Amino acid sequence: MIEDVEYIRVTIAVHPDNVPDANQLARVLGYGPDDDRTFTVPGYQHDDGNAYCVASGLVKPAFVEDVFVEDLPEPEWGADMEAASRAQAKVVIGGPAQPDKIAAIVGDDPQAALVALGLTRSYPEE
Amino acid sequence: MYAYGYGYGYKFGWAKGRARAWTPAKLFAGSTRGALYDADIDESVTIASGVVSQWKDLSGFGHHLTQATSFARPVRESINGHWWVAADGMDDNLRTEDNFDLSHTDKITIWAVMVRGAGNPGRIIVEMGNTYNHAGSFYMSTESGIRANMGGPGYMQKSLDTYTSLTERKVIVALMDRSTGEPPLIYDGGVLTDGSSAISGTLTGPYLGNKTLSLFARWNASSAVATTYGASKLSALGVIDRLLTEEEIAKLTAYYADRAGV
Repeated sequence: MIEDVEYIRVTIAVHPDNVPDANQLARVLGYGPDDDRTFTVPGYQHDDGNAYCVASGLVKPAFVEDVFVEDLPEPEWGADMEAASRAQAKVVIGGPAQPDKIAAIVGDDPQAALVALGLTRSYPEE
Repeated sequence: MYAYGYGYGYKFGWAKGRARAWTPAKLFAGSTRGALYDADIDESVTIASGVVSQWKDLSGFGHHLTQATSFARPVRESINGHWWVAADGMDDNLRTEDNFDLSHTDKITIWAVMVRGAGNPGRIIVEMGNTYNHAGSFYMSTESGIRANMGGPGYMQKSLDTYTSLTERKVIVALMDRSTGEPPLIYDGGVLTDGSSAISGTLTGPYLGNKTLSLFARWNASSAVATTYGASKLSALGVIDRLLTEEEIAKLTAYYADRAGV
């Protein structure tokens, strides 16, 4: 039941314009075809007025290197590799969130990651 | 910690080496619908790549909770010698994929062994339905302390501001009776605590059928995406299609007392 593997948490902010490509990269680096639904609603706001989609999850430590590997292999469940490549070129480790970047924060606390990304949660009207 | 085996033995309360000890699964013996989740039952939680991909229903009704997207899967962590399923409050959530039909009843009870958790407001613990305040749905959250809400077409809710910290562990039981015209009753630690109530409109009819039980997320009107997430932790959760008696609530509280730190 308990895996003998260490994981790290990564929290990633994506501008809505980059969501389709970022989801293809998630499908390539992830564990299955449903990982192309990693980024959904732009529920976070930056002071610059832009909204962002944010996802946070556990990855193997190699993620921070794998995400920059050239010619990523296509997963067995398939993916749009051109889109994934476009997203890959926009990945940066560290904040803040930027419209033309895909900013990833490595750290156990997703709330601290939000601060580093310069984002606050925006809530729908109830 | 793993005294009870998952499945037949758990459902009927047979402990290894002990006969017929009481477990929450016994509550479902006379019910026709419900769900029971317990992170302390090792076999009921499936871990994939370090995160929880499935949390099995121990009630016998098969309403297993799943999450297919890796980043949206919660983690399992140990607190006070017990296992908890912990959501990050960013995107983690679990959902049933089958038809969780409660259309035969206007009375349900929800219980949770939970930690409020830090982070965003709108800390949804459990929600039934596709839409916030959706007709015929319900939710329990840690907004304003603890909130239990029945919806449709109006809503009736009660809030108790009894949490003293973001790490406090509690056993909460909410009795939701749509026929009374009154907000839910909330038992905090086995004690009925009076809190603030809110009522809008009236409730009619039973709960709806063909619905989804969701943990840690509030779903928008389209049901396609969640818009608010809860950074909460659950060690156990139950939903049953009847109102528990005070004696049963006392048994639940006693059963979970060790993990809740009572």
